[in-house]
Amino acid sequence: MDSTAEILLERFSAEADADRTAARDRFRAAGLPTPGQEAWKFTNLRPLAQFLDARAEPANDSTPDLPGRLVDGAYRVVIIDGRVDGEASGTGIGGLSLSRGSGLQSGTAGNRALRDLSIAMADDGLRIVLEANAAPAQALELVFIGTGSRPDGHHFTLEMELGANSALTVVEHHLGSNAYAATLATDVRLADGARLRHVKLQDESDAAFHLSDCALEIGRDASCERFVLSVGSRLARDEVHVALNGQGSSVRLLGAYAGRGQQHLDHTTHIDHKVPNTSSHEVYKGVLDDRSRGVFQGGIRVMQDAQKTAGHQLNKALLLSRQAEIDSKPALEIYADDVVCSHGATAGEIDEDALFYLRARGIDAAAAKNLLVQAFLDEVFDGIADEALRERLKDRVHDALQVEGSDHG
Amino acid sequence: MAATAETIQQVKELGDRYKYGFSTDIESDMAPKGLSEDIVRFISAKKEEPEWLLEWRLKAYRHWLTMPEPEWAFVDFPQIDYQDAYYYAAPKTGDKPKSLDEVDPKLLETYAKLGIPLREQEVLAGVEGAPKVAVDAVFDSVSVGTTYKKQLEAKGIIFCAISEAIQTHPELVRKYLGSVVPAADNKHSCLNSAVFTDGSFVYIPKGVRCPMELSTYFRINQENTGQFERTLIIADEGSYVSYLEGCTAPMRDENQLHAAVVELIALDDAEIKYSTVQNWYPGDENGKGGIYNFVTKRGACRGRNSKISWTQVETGSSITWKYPSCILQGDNSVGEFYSVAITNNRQQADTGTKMIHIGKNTKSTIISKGISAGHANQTYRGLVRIQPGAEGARNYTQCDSLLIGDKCGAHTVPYIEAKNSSARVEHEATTSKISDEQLFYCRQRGLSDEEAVALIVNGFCREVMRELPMEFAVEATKLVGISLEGSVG
Repeated sequence: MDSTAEILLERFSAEADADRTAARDRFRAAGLPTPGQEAWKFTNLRPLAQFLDARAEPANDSTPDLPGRLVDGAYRVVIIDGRVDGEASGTGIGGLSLSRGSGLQSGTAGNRALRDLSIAMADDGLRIVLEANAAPAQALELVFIGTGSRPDGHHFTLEMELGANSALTVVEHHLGSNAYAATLATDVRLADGARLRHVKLQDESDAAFHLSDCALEIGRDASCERFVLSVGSRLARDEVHVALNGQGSSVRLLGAYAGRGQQHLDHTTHIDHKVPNTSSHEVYKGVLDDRSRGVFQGGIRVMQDAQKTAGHQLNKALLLSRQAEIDSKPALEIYADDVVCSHGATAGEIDEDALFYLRARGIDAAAAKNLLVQAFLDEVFDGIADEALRERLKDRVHDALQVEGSDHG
Repeated sequence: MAATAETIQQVKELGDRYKYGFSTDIESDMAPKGLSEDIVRFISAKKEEPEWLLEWRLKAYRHWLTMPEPEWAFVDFPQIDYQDAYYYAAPKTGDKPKSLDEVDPKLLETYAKLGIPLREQEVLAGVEGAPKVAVDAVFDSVSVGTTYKKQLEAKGIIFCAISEAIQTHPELVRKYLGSVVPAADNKHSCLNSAVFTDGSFVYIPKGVRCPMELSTYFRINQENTGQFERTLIIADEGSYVSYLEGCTAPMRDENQLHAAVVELIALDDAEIKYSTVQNWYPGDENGKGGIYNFVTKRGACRGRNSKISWTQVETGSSITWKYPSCILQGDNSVGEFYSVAITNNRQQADTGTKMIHIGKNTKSTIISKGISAGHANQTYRGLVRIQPGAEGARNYTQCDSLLIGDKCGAHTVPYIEAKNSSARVEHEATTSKISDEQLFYCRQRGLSDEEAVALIVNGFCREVMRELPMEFAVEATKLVGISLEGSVG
């Protein structure tokens, strides 16, 4: 049992139920993940351990400003330091109900330390249920704000249940100030024919740790499109576990990341094709500057019964500085023969010829570089249907890159 | 195609799929069963080794005891009982043979059956245009004969059993042994360091281009023996050598362990081409018996502009655990890995490569073709690492898997670590099955199912097969057909 795990478990509630106690026991037994574990080979949590050991003074920045909406007219729920701010119940959105309270079922997890930690320690949670056949036009926007008032870590659980043939757009916006460690465990269940659009902007404070584990279970003919943009935090891991449980189900995972300074941005995905006729499509693109480090771990597993599977994954990284690093592990595990699966990974720097082409047309080096970086990333954003949202996210990443562009151009 | 069909026919006539499954009744000189420091001392004493080597072995043995079994590979097998095997078995011939004429004729017969013309080569030497291949044959643990020695010696090339090299060229062995694969590198290489009995040693002097292919044939004959050979190849500045390795074993119900270590060293402007056709006994349809092939192969491109190329055709063994790698230290050095791995029935293979880019402008190419059939499982596991100093490094990786039947598995686990922005790394992988259209097309033209599959698979593997030296390419193409027999229909 290591001391960091003990610090994280300090506030464990005496009244916790069996699920939470089991999750706590598993986390305690396994300890904080280390690079010795295959799933954590490229991400070392030592900075988190050091941060927790140092026991920072809580910041008293208690009334944070709310950011602008990412989706116009979205119904918004604000979560501050792992607690829902105000009441979240009657949304006025047809078919959609929200309730507070943490209570993910544990048990499924095999070595999912982040999930165990969140379940054991969640101070609060949100359960989102959408009735069958409901398809509200209004999006749901969850704003997670970290203030640093709880430097020993704040934890949250999120549960989404979409009824048959329903459709929903959920946007997560993570941001904050000061130093803190935030964990989030999410369970998503899509009933037959349900459609979920899930967009996540990880824009945490530069001193924060962001650790998230999302499990998606997708039923017959149901589909999920997930987009994640990671620009914030000092160390972040976005873990997604998808189970394609019903025939005709599909998932699209898109991701973009921009690392600067000493940031460490980890995207880990695992997709299980369990039945015939399912498809998955994954594209992650990242730009890494300064001494930042990007990690992409992709896993596609096709079970023996899952004939006629299509699975594709792609990770491309652009390294802007000599000290930047990308580690990529796009794995395929296939037990069925009638499949078409592929993966690809590339890493390299900006194409000198393209740069020369632009400069020859009178565009200065910094602007040309920015243009090429944006063009490289923009492809992933094309997967976002909502135009206003797409532009806001693009602006955010362009902003982030612009800053470094003027520094290093 | 006709050749493949013919081979399939021949094998059928033999009444068994594995045509090298015979054993030869030869009296053997064996160490007592089991593994201990005494056995290590026994082997060392048998080999009349110098003190430093015994110390090196003992150190490896003591470290081996402390190492856990590696468990990360996608292979599944019962715990190995290291005490239930013989670590030294040598054909009993009284004194060491002075020449091939003194070698037990039964041994030579064995090799003739295997298609290795140990003797014929010398006869054929005068024939113009005939390809010359110098052969070192290793039977159980001991090298039994090396051909063409004289011709090679004239050029200053040393090609002999490593036990002989330890006596005759101790300075070279001591300098390079364990310098690429340290004794403590991994559990299996550590065991090898403690108990290795023989293997080949090659030294190509400065500026010499080896005039013929060098070849070693490994054969496990004795029951309950492990084979632990150690190969060391040194290509001095500006030299070139092409080395072939082939392996077979008799059919036995129990599993036999083969834990070899191969070390290659290429100095400035040197090139080593290492080709393997691995056809150890794969076990029967139900996975009974077969060789555990746990091999550590690694090459160091120490010099500028050096090049190491691995080509492997892996069709045998019940379990393969093998990652021929290149350490690209010298600027502009080149590493290549071409692999075809075929698993059928209950075979399991976890194989791939590592390319470690250290020097500037280093290049590596990885082409891996995996074919899985029956109940077999196969994994490509590869690492491409670009170190911070590897300016302008370049890697291209392609790994394709072909699945035949719905009970088999094919997996890909690549690790890509880029720590230098001027490097370019590309990785592509696909997994699919033989399409019905392709099969239909072939069958329409009168090919049987099996011929069609052999043809399509050979096409799938062509990029790798064409890297093999001629002698091997023919054999390998036939093997592809045989290995997949029974996988269709």
